[in-house]
Amino acid sequence: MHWIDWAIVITYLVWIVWTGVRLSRQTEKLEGYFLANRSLPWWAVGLSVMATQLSAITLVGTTGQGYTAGLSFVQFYFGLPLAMIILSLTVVPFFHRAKVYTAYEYLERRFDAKTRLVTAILFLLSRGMACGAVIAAPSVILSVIFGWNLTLTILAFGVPTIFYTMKGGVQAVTWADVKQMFVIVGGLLAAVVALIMGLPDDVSVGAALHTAGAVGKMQALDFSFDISNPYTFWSGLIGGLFLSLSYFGCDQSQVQRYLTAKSVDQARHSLLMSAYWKIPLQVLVLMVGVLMFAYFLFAPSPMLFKNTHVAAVQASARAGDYAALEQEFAQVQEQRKTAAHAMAASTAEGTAAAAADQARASFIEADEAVRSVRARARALVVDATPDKSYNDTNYVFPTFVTQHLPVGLVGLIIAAIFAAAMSSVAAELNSLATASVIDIYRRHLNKKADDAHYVVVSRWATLFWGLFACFVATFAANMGSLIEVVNKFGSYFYGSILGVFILALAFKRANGHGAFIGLICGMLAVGYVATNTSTAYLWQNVVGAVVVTVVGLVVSAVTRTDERVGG
Amino acid sequence: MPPEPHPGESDLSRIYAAVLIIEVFVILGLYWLSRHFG
Repeated sequence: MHWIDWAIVITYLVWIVWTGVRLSRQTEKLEGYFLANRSLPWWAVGLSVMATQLSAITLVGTTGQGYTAGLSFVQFYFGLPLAMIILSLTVVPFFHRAKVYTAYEYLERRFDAKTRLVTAILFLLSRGMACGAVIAAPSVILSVIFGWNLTLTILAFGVPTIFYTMKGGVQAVTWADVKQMFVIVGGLLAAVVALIMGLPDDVSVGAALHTAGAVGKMQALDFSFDISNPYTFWSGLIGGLFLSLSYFGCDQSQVQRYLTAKSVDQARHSLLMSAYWKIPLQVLVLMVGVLMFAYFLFAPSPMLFKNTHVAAVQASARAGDYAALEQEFAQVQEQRKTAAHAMAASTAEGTAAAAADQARASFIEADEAVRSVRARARALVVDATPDKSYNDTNYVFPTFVTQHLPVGLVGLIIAAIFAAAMSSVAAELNSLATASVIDIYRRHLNKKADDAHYVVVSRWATLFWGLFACFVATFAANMGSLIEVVNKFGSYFYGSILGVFILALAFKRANGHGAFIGLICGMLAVGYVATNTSTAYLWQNVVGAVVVTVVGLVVSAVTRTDERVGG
Repeated sequence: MPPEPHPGESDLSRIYAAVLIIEVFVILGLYWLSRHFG
């Protein structure tokens, strides 16, 4: 990387840490440290909510998704605006009026201590592991692309984030998130401009999008009802609704964002900012991927994007096969380039329909040939290396950035990747520390200490979770499938915890026994569905929430009868 | 219909309606993109 890009990344890191430390006020009390004395404006909280959700793997993974599959991934977010309205009407006022620090604290007031303890521990386990995965994913990608030392890359993400989160608590996290959100959006817009300017002079943006659209990249909507496919209109609307309700309503890393708002109205407005902007933002991210596809139609692209695996194959006994495939790839790529030019030219007004159809058919055929060679190259990697699940989707965007963008822009986009990772990790560390101190330490281990003591413990808890996340990241980075395992582990009880909150908020007759047994049954049901059926994980949230609610109501009814008989 | 707002809280029902209307327009926009460029 050029020294100017290094300077941009280092300036970004110093600026964010300085922002976090400088803008933190009155953090000597627990409410100031964890909830900013409930004083933050809605727009800052709203940007923090969005920055927390947009992790680095979302940035590089979703652009890669746009490159390979087009816009269809946007459907994943269709349930989000509706979820934000439901949460604004339900949990936001409940949590604010209850003056709680954590979502799980509310569950003890409504049910009992064991329900609070179990949900808090589930959150700590899953979010602590997921935080490691959030650091591991971009660290692996950047270390592969730049040849950086992996441990140092993990520490470059982790150490500044731990520092400002420890020092300034939730205020540092929120104000850093605000600036990080601008860096992320600035990086994305810069990428869009660079991609458009990188198209050949005779290919307009419209023609490029028509060409990408010919092979399905602009196909955003799929109305089929297929519960094994997470990227359909219905999966996104219904499964995505339950996932968003669970994530924004029951996950402390998000709940804590809007608990810092000045009032119920301000908290509602902060959530509604995501309702307005999340889908357009995701379209922007995916559009970067689609434009990358269009860009690589006219510029040489690597056959595979993960150079460590390419090097491994080239050093293996199958090196000759790989070289032959590369030759074939160069040939079909050149044919596709010619066909893409013809297709782009055919989109001009006045082109005869038959000629346009012919150009389109030729381009589709040429693209199919390129995809066929790539598929064989991937199969060769799987055959010749120990990695049996080779996937280079996450490497497309970083490869484009480092090999095709000018000096300066590379630094800006690497800074945006850092911003996306750090904003998510900071919020997660802060919420992990909050749940550890409020739901475990202060509730069960040391009930009578003063605020100064709890703040000191909170800072140590932040450090502990930060080191834990870096430790998990080191292992997760070397065990690719572990990241998947962590995500699946989380999906086992995301919907189930939502079910507990549905019982708490919507059913006055539900009691602690019902919530607790319902939670266990919900997780078992999701575990069964996940391992024995092909149901997409978005629907597992629906299964978990429904089973917990139904079992919880039945158990509540039975135990209430028992109490009456016994009493 | 959303419940009555508590004292000191605003009635945001128009904003909720705007969110839903905008989402419908965004989905229609995506549909247009799919049809126009697909």
